[in-house]
Amino acid sequence: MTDPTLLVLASLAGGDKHGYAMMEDIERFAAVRLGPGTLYGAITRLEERGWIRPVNSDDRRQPYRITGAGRECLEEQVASLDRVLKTAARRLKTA
Amino acid sequence: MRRLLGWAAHLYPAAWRARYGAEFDALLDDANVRGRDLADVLRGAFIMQMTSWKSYAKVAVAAAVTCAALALAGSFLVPSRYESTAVMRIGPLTPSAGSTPGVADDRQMWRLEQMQMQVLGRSSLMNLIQQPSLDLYKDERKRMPLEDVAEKMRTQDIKMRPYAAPRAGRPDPQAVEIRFDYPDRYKAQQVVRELVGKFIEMNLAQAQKAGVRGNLVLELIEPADLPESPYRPNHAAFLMAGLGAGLTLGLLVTLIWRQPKWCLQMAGFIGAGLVLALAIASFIPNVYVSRAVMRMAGPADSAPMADRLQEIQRQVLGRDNLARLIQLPRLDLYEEQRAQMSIADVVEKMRSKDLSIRAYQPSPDRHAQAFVISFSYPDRLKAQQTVAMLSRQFMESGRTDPPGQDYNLEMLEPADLPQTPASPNRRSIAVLGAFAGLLIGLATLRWRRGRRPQLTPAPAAA
Repeated sequence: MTDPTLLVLASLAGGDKHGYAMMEDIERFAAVRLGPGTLYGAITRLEERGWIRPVNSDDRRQPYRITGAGRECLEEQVASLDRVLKTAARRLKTA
Repeated sequence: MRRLLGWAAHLYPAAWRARYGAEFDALLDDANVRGRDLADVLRGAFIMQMTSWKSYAKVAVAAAVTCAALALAGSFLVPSRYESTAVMRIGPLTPSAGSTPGVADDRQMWRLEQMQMQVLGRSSLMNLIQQPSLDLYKDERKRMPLEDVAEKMRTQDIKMRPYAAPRAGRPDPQAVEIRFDYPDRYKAQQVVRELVGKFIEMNLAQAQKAGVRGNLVLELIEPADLPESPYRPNHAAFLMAGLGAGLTLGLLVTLIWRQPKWCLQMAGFIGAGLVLALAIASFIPNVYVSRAVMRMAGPADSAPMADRLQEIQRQVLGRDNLARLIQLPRLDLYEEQRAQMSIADVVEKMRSKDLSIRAYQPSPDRHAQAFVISFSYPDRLKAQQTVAMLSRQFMESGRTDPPGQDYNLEMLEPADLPQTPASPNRRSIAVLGAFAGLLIGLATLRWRRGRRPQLTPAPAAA
């Protein structure tokens, strides 16, 4: 559950954020601290795929927003993870 | 730390910096950066650099420059080698009526080649190597047989070729230079002196033997020099080789980086081809070739050499003699074939496929000829023993010349014990296998790509 792109999408699903805010948010909800290089690597890839986009801002801190395609992708990934988690939990109970 | 991270951020590609540079700097200002963030930023910069072919070219150039610098530095660790050179000239003392002054005729060059064969023969070089005043190739002699060391000396370290430097405005076709390279410059000079001395001695001996004393003279134009500076390592060559290797390595790394799955699949095909070829090659039995060099010479008024040689060949290579040789208990050749076919057929196979007698070099002299006896066989000891027995038979047959036809048959190089098989050439088979794997891999991946359904493009940004 430490895929940086998934963590960034999950963070932006809660609202627009700039880099530092994402870093703080991810550390809070996933207990993972993404380094600056890793975070911006994920942001670059996500923007190239059209899953996030920059929001107009006059500040040096550039906020990003999740796109419809990004939300769809996140939903797919969450559903997939959910299936895995439920299966694992069920098997642990029966074992 | 912040300053270091700022410097590291400059390693990102310019296009990336133009797009994300300001906000990335803002993040570095806001975040409580730590030591491990430096490695994270460096890693991120490297990944970003490896995203376009232009960046790959940069990486390849950087790899080429690094490898060239390393190769140049390494070239200074390679032991120096010195080359000593002497120049000899062969020609008639008094030119004959038909000869053109300053032009080497066939007889002169042939005489020189005959002498070269003896002076640079295995036994002559083995004596030279072990001469106490020289004591050459100490390390090599510890790890390989003396015969192989002599072979290395003859094929790699001694060079004999026509003298190319212009003399009196034009090259001298009658002159030859002899070079020897060695890590010790004094020994290099001493070896060239010894070799030149042997050539001069041999020329006198041959002239006396052939009854043409004073007809051909071998003079020393330039004595063996004492080399001042090493001729190897060639630092420029090392630099260029490093540059080429680095460029190749850089392009290969970038290709693997960009298309890791494709590269892995191709490596699988190449590896499979290589393994399959080596497996096939391992079933092919080794064949060793042993050789002996002999020389037959007769007086000027004797019958033509070819006739006498053919007569001896008929005798030694006759069916009965070879059949006897094959069945000798100490040789016991072609055991399996003898169980399947008649001895006459086995003899025919030996004569037509495995045994060969050929002229060492075409001789312009009808009264002297050097020739090579070679035999290919899976057992290297038996190959050597067979050649040794045949050459001994040749020598014995040569002694029974008719009166007045005194041919002299001498052994220039006795039968050698081959160290490595002449066939199969496993290296070539492996290379062919790898190449076949590469071609099959390219064709298969292309075919698979053609069959794969087209993916829908990624959705555009909202």
